[in-house]
Amino acid sequence: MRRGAQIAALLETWAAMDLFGRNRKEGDPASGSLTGSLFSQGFLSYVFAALCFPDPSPARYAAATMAFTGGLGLLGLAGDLQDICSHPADRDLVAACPISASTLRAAKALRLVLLLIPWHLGLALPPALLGIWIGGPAFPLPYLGLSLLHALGLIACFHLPILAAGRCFGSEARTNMAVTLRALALAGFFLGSLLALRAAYQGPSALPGGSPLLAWLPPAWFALALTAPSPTTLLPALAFAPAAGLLLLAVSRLPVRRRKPRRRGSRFLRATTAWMRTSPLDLGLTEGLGALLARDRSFRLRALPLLGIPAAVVVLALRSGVEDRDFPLFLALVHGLPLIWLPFLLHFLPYCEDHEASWILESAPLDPIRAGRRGLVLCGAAWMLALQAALFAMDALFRGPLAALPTTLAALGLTWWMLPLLARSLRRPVFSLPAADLAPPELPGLLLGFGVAVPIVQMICERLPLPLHLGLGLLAAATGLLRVRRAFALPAAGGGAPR
Amino acid sequence: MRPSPLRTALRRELRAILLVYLALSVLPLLTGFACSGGL
Repeated sequence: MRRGAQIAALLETWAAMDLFGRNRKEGDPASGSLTGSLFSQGFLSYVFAALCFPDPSPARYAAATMAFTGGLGLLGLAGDLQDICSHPADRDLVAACPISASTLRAAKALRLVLLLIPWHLGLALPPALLGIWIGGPAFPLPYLGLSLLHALGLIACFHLPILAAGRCFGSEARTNMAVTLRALALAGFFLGSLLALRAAYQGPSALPGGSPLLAWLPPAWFALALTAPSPTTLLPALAFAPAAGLLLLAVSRLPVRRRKPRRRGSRFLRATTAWMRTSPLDLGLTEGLGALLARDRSFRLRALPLLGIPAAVVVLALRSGVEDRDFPLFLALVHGLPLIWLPFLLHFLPYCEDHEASWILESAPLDPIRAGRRGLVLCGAAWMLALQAALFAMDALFRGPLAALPTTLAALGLTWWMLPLLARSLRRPVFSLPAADLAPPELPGLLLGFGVAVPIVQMICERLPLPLHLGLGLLAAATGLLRVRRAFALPAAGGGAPR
Repeated sequence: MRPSPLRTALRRELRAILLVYLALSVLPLLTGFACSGGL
């Protein structure tokens, strides 16, 4: 079979999977799943372009809109593609194909480009057409071409560290890198859009790094190439995507380093839960849930990017300059962020890619929901202890250990008190439902209310005199620990658990 | 020979994407004309 025919056959199969896969799973075989999301994302791009529109400078308009469409395309397509390409069915399809590695690489690159072109054209069309009134009738065509090159380069840059981590440190490092970059891209996109909108009106001085930073940002190269074309401005713009593509090709040729599987020590969970365990079953449940939390790909992909939002809150607050008088309140809020984040994380807990493995918990002589809640309370208590210890270290650097201790103890006590209550919201055994069936939370208002109530309690505690605050923190932590010990406790002997 | 159902579906999807492009083109053109006093 010729190489071209092999690539064409793979592309045809992938096109069916990419365009119709999601709707076919939901029982609608005829309609595609791309058009709906293309329209909604394109509309978002139009709204952003319309917000930038009154600005008279074509270079600023082009840079801001290119940055927005590039980021939007990166988040929408790169994330989805990452999921699709590493789907087990797709891996099996590719592994069963009698083709060479180079043909497969070429087919994968073509798949990405063929999906990216129609997707990105939809995103770039509204700002390109609106640009006629800013840059004249010759604006749209070069804008579309350059914007497409920009998006291709961005996607290649996004995949570069992921691929390099996979080649150098194995598939686990690859997933970790993908999750981290996705969280950074999500947080960076929100912050970047706001900054780009401000910079479109006020110029480069509105950006944190000013003009020197702008010289390092690809959208600025493309905007310059579009509005003032000369060999010096065209070169970086035209070379960006090919250079990133070549680098990606070079990294993909590196030999894959396979690491020997090693037993993960659970010394951390063993040591931190030593005071909380009441049954020998507790250790197994905690270690099992801890391993699932750390390893399930869909859980990590969904839960970790949420961390980007509190991180963005902290960065924005620090940048806006918190006054000395309000600094303790700000740090109390930071201590409360892990607890606010917990209910959102719990919502993802029943969903898992390898949900078939839930038979292990279901066939054990335990109530699976109770066992899941117990494991969750212990795991949560241990991880929150580690998180609050890290926050204490940060807080102590700013305010000294004596001022940081009561805030940390109060936050830890409140978290340990709330954990059993939050664990009650777990109404399905952990990791027992397919990851694709994720449903929105039933009571989003309750989650938001919890997110508002926790900082209020933290701030009230922060206003108390130091000895009272310290005493209250100690009391909360000690009684919280007792509550964690008793919550959903399993029988000490093992068998015959309460149902 | 009957055309392959996949090809037919792909062609239909392509037509749907073109319609989306058309819808996405109308909004900025209207905004541009309205802001420049053309409407």
